Amino acid sequence: MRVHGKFDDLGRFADPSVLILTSLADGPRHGYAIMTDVAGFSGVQMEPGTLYGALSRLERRGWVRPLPTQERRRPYEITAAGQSVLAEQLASMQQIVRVGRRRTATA
Amino acid sequence: MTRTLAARLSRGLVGCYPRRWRQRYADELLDVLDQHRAGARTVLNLAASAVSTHLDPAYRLGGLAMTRFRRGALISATLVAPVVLMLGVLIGFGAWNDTSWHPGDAAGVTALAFSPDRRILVSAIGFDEDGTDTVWNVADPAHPKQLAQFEGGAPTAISPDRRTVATVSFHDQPVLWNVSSPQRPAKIATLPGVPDVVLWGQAFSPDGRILAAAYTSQIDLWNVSSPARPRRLTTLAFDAAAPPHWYGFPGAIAFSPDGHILASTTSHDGVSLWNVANPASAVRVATLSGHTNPVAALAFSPDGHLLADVGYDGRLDVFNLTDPAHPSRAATLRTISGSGAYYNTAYALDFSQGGRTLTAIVDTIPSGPQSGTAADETISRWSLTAEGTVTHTTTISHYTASAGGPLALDAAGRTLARGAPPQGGDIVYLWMLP
Repeated sequence: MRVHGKFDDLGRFADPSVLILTSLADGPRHGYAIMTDVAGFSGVQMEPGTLYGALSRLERRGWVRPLPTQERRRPYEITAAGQSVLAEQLASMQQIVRVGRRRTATA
Repeated sequence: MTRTLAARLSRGLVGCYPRRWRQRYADELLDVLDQHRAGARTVLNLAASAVSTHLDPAYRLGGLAMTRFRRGALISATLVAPVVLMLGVLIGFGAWNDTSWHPGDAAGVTALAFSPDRRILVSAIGFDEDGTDTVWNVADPAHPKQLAQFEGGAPTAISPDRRTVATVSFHDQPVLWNVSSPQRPAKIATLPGVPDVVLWGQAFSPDGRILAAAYTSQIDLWNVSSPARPRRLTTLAFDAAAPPHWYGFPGAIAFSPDGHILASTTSHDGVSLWNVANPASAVRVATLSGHTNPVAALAFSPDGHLLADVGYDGRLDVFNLTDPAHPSRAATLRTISGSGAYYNTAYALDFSQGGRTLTAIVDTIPSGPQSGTAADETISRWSLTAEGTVTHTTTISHYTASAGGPLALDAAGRTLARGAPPQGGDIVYLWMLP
């Protein structure tokens, strides 16, 4: 659901990016914890290739940042920029949900 | 496709990502793959991701100057490479072990531990069973001597008699190694771990009889007076609602010099003190709070009356533990200015001069493309009274090029060991502090 323009150039990583930002919105998580969390709240079974494809792009945009690593597990946290982008995206999606609900209800 | 084949193919495909990408993410991706049940979908997804990463301008060879022809060739090559690799694996498993990608290719020092008397230093490169530990005699820091090497995982603690090293296995289990015979280090025992949680730290009691293994959910106390037959004494549970914010961070754990108190990070903002004088019936006596970020390092003064802890936010607290059940905050100090230094930061903390001097080293690594190559290092030293009140502060800040690796500080506050950063090789830098 590529709603907001800021996600446009993420290509096929746009949707996973929204899920990852949502997962990190309540606190830092490492790679596998993001996958299980996303599966838990959305049912989307994200594959590791997609996860890291999206994470590396989000990090480059400054929307998430890596935290100190423990063994090979590196937690990521959402940045202020990431939070505001996510908020905009969620607002756009909510608008679609609202309109869609209204139209399907009268259909 | 069998699970084993899918797992092997997945790991091999990590090696097909662009080199720069691998240096930054390969270790983490391999770790995720270890936890993930790989299937055909995982393999195809990784192949597609590797290709799209090659097409990503940030990782594309030659950048904008690349000709149309070279770009076409690269795309073809990256599309073909995973297929060739798959065929190669199918044809001969024998050759597989030689071509698989090893974490050591991009090694830096991943962990450092001093023995309690600071005569022995163990450093590790790599992360799993491929990881190599090196035991150093650093009694004379100017002339360190390599004593032994073994493949044991990240070292977290060395026993007071310097005969046993506790490492963390690939599956988050404590492993005890006998290093008393430097030529033949030997695995003594692998202790049962706790499912689904990270083993982030371990500590030996000053008499060497107890090993505290710290997980994100609990601390297990083991009687290791006979290391070959470790016996679990008790489990110290953390608060039921362990805050997810802390998940996966290295915390800090230490016994008091008399061995009666165990201090450990137990939540994202707190440190707990247990009375472990009788380990089998250990009880929590106090909780130290005040941090807004996890505690990264803590240290007892030699007489055990003061405890200093520093959080990932750079805030340092000194507590007076003369009565451990009623700790009082003696000082709150800043190691680094500003906030948000939470990111990519390494800490070392220790008392010296009989507890009258407290030294803290903080390496903050700036974010962005240069990440992991350089750091701002801040050395802070405070003179303290016996009650923990600060009488004098010295701060030295400088730039260091060999940053990004772990830090360890000796008890005299004079020698700083700094591991090489990722891709920095198996190098430990020993620094004499002013």
